[in-house]
Amino acid sequence: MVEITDNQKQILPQNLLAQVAEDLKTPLIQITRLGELARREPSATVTSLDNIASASQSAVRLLDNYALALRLADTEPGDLTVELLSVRAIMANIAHEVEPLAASHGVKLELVATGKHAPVVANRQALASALSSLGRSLVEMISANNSADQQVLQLGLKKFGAGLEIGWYWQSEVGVGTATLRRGRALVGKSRQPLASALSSASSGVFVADYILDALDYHLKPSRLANLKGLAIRLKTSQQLALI
Amino acid sequence: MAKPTILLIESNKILAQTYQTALESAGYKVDLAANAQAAIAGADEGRPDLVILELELARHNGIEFLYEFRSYTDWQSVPVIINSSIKPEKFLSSQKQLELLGVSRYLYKLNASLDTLVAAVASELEYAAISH
Repeated sequence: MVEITDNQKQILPQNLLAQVAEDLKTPLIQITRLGELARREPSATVTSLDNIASASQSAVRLLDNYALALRLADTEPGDLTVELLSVRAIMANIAHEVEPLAASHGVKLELVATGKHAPVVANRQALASALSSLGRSLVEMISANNSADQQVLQLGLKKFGAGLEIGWYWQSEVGVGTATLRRGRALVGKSRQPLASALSSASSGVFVADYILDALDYHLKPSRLANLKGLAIRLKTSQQLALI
Repeated sequence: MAKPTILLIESNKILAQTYQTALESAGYKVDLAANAQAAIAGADEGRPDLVILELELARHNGIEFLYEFRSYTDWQSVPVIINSSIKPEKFLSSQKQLELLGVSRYLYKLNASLDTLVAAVASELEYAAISH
């Protein structure tokens, strides 16, 4: 497990804001150029408008998730509202939300959640936002790393010990390992590409997810699902309900 | 007459397709590459007349690509336009480096419209044709 240090937590707002600001340039440039294209090429208008909508949503989600990370950083763990959550239901919602972005980047989303799983106890908004933020970043990452027509990104769930591991997984030579994640955290706000070995940009979504999860006392970790590499969260399940 | 071939190196798929559509409608053939490795393979196959290059790529950045690209005799005189989200003034200390690498023009993505990019391509191809 790779945890965020206390020092990193103290400088969160400024560093993460710098990273988010840098990454917001991309959807804004996309929107501007797509608008120009729609004016130049009437035949490309529908596609341009769809992509503008997707880019706008990406930008708004990034800002929302960042704002949530800030609020959570200021919240005592005991003050967080937690509830019993069906992880599969959350996964289905996240997949539905991220799907338009994935489609616009030529990435196929797959949901892999077989078998019965006990519910988890967590803050719904935070867990969903973290998974969404992470998924969006990874869509752009695997799209940028591969020139092939279609890539696959899986939102997968598997049992891990007494709990569950839920994460995003992809086929690539390049994963995001423990060392990369640790180095990336130290570079947030200082480097244009904190995860340069894996992500050309858009990595603020990974770190926003990271800090949201830290508030829940969960942590991002490198993971594998079958032959796919990924980033995942280990969740504790409600054993009492599992027995009912 | 064959259309000039442009190798567009851009990791963001949406931007890549947007630029590609604009350039193709301006009369160019456009080959896309999302990273430096694919770009070298693409250059070998497509024999570009001009390269448009984003500097921020995954794993190997645009400068690394340029060094490799220029190491091949066939590609030493191919015009290169940088179209990057990095501000040009960030490269002040590397102006000499960009000149040595034969960068014809540096466009800052935030400010460079599609019209600007298409005009830059036309201008650089015309200059290249006159020079050779």
